[in-house]
Formats: sequence, C-alpha cells, structure tokens
Amino acid sequence: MIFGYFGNLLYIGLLLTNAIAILNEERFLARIGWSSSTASSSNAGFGQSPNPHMYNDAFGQNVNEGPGVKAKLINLISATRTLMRIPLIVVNVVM
Amino acid sequence: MAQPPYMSSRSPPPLQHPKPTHPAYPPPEPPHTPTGSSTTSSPYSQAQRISQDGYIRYSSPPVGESINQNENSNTSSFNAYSAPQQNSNNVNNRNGYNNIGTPVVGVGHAPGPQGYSNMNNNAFGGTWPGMNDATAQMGVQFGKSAVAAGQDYVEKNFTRYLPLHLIKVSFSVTNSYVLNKLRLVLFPWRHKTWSRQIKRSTVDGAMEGWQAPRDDLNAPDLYIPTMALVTYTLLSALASGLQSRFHPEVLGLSLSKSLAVVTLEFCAIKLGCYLLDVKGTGASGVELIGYGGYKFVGIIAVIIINMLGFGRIIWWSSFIYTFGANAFFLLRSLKYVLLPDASVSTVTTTLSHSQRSRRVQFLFFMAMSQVIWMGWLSRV
Repeated sequence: MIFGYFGNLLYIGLLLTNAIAILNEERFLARIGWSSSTASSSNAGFGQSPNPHMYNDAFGQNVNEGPGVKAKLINLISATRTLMRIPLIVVNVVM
Repeated sequence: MAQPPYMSSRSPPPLQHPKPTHPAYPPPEPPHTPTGSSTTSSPYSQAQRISQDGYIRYSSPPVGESINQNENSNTSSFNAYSAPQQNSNNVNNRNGYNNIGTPVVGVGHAPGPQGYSNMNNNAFGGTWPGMNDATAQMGVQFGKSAVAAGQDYVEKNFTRYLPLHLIKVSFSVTNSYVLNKLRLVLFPWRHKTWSRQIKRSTVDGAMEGWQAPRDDLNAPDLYIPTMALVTYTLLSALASGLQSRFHPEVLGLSLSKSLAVVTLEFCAIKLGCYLLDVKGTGASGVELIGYGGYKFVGIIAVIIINMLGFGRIIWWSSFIYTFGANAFFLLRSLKYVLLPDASVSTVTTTLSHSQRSRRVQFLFFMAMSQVIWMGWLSRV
C-alpha cells in the first residue's frame, strides 16, 4: 500500500460503492420497502396530492418537511446504482 | 517514369469532382489521334495507351507538365486571385479535370502521385492557392475564437471541480487574524458573536458571499489548517524520533492519516447535508475542509504537551480540554451551515421542529466525533 491510510480510504470508498451498486432492486430493495419506484411516485404526488396521508404513510413524516432521510437514502442508492454501474467496472478492474 | 501497376490500382478514388460550372463532359476527340505526337494528355489517348501496352504507363505527359496542368486546373478552380501561369484555355482545364476524375479509365489514372506532387508544390511553393490576406485574417480570427471558446470551457469545468477562487480567498489572512483564530480555536468559550459577516455587493447590496478571513474572524481559512497539517506531520515524526523509532515512512504515514481524516470528515458532513436536505446556502466544500482542519491545532498542542513529558494525567486533561474546545468551536461554527438564521440566509427556510432537532443531533454528532479523530491522530 503506497498511500497508507489514504489509499485505504479509497479502497473503503470503492468497496462501499460496490456494496451499494449490487443491491438488487426487485429481490432486496422492494422487499424491505426501499424501492425507488415507490419513492419517486410518492415524490411526484408530493404537494399536489389530494391525500397527504399517502406521503405520511410512506415516510412517516410531516408534509411540510420535504423528502425525509429515508427518501434521500433511497434516492442516493438508486442514483448510485444507475450512475456508477459502468464506471465501477473500470475502477474495479484498475484498482 | 514507369508507374507500378499496384500503386495505380490501389490509388484512392479521385476526390475532386467536376464543378458544375464546367462543361459537363469533354467533346469526344477524334478517334484517330496519333498517340505519339499528341502532347496534351487527353484521357482517351491515355486509355488507348493503357490498352495497348497492357499496363499503365505514365509516359505520355512529362511529369513537370502534368504538374503544371494540375496546378493550373487547381488554381483556376479554387483561386481567382493569384494565377501564376494560367493559360486560361478550356482544353487544358478540362484535361486537368479529366486527368483526375474521368470515369473512362477504370484504374484511375494515377491520381496519387500527381496529387502528392501537387501538394508538395503547394506547400513549398510559397504562395498557397486561395490564401490572400483577407482569407488569412479570417482564418486566424476563427482560430483565435475557437481557442478562446475552448479555454472558457476548460476554465468553467475546471473551476466547477476545483474552485480556485474560493481557495485563493481562503488563503488571504493577516497576522492578527491568524493569532486571533488560534486563540479562538484553543479557547472558544468566551467568544460572543459567531456569525459570519456577509459580503454585500457594492451595486445593490445583494448578498454575494461571505467576507474573506482577512476581514472576518469567524470566516474559515485554509492557511491555519494547511500549516497545522504540515506541522502535525513533522511533529509526529519528531515524536517518533524521540522514542527512537523514527523511519522515513512515518512522515508519509502520518500525512496520509491526517489527509484521510480530513477527507472522511468532509465526506461525512457532505453526506449529512445531503441526507438532511440542507440547501446550499452555507459554506462551500473548501470551507468545510477548513473547518475540519482546525482540529490539528489542538492535536499539535496535545503532542507538544506529550513530548514535554508531564505524565499521563496532564496528557489526558490536555487532550480532553482541546477536544472540548474543538468540539465547541465546531459546534458554533458549523451552526450556520446546518441551521441558517432567517436574518442571514436570503432564502427563508422554515424548518419544522423534527427537522431542526435532527439537524441539531447531526451537528452534535459531528462535534462529538472529534474525539475519535483527535484520539487517533494524537497517538503518535
């Protein structure tokens, strides 16, 4: 290890990104209720929804707050899985 | 000058098509032209010669003449300004075109060497055909504008990922700022006002950022964190040398350790800001790195006290004191990032109670996590 702790940090980041990227949408995320499709539909209905309790039920939060931590996490996971799929192949090969 | 047949057969297809202004097709020549006596290189005679000899011979026009013809045709087609030796006879023109583009000769009648010699002639002849002053000016201007556009593009994308302006601003410090800031980091308990001063635009008084650290004590800089990081690296090497276990790797290892801590903390703050939906009205990434780097001041103090050798109790008390000071400093300094005041922020964000409490929890967690970093870094 040339870079010492800093290189370790890079490795940790790469492994964490790998771990996020391999989460399966249908088999895992939808089963625990973290599927991005439901989150996006809830976000689309946010503000104009005639039934605000739908949003409440989905995330257990107040309507005035904007997307909560869980919605943000789901968004982050789906974004990582979408965006990093191709670059991760290259980075995994190189490192 | 015998042309090898493979070259002519492999020669690329002719690039120049006959211009539409030109007469569409040459009038057919009389079939019984004596081949040896004709000096004009007509394609028909050429084809005849090919068919007679069985392979292509480049004999009929001498090389210089063919070049002249070709150049004539080129200059007359492209350039109306500089015509060095233009005869302006249509037959010559047509022959020039037909030399290149005639479909009658199936093997293409060796446009390759003629084109090369033509290019060479153009390149070394001094005057480019079709290059007078106006065209040259236009070309130069176009090139300049293209280069400028490219530079703008590079600068825009460069400053997006490496904000040089912010880095420059955060290094503009004065002596009094550095002294006061060091005192503030090590003894933050009596400091009253923690809010940063807003830099107002001189035109309309709109907020356009924060004041530089030269003018504002509460502004984060990068000078103190950088110097403290270098000092920490050297001090840890010195401390390990005092314990007679110095190795050159210690320098790189401690530097990489501290950089890893700074990076990790920066990533943690960024992730927390993303998860808590903090809109970007607060500090930039450079300033967040600066806030993370102030802990090295306390770590340096702890290391120095450790090197003086007062014993474990003094060391522990100094460590706890610097940790508390740093956590308090970070708590008060990062407050405006996570919990923007309504008076400061231009966008009035109304935070609900649960959101606010969650942000306060995150802030407290970030302040308390200093004990991990400082404890890890101060063991040298």
